[in-house]
Amino acid sequence: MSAQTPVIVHPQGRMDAARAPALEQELRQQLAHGHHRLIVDLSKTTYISSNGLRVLLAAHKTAQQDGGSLKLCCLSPRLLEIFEMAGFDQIFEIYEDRNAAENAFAKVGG
Amino acid sequence: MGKAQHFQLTILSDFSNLGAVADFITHAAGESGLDESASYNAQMAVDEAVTNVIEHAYHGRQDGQIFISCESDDDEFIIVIQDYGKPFDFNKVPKPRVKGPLARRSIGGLGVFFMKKLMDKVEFSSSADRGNRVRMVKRIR
Repeated sequence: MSAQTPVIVHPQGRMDAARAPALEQELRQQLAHGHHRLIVDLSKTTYISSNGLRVLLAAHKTAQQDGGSLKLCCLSPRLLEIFEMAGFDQIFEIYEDRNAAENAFAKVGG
Repeated sequence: MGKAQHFQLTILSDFSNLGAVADFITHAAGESGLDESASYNAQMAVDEAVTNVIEHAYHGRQDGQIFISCESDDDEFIIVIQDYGKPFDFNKVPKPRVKGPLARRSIGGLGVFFMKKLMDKVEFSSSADRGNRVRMVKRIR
């Protein structure tokens, strides 16, 4: 489909310094292909460290520069706590499920 | 209850060992009576600390040794992380900007920020001949 359709990325397991580079590569590839509307579904992500957060932040910044954004969905209460601690709940749009995140893109003319 | 416990793990400074470190801390914390939330917080603080050691003390070298020990009594769960890499002054790590718009966020120092937030006490010491030592305490209950 077009670059307007949000792309869903679904990282699984622990997003620590060992695993964050793979997520970074995947997000960079999507952005390089013009997909600047990204949804990261964290339903299968059990943990995220500062390295993982850094990757999400960098991708969000690039997406925004290209007129898109990176939205998040399906965070466990524990992950949400980490996001809130770092103030990341203020810079990311966080949705309960994929549908809500997709609808949010649709509303802004996606 | 009332029994002092001691756990030890030695790893090489390779990010691929972070999963084993998390399992080790979760096990030690559980055995020491920390609840699930406190245990999760302790494993995150240690994950951030060990990541810092690999990045800043060993500069990504994968053959440096990292010694992790946990001790507990009725009141406290104490974790000590020791390395013999380049001396690193944790106290000089800048504080991250965790408020404000995206463009003004600085992300450096987020690991140390989490360690301090997640644990009740965090102490750093460092010297050329004794390496770096991080001591963190989580109160039990």
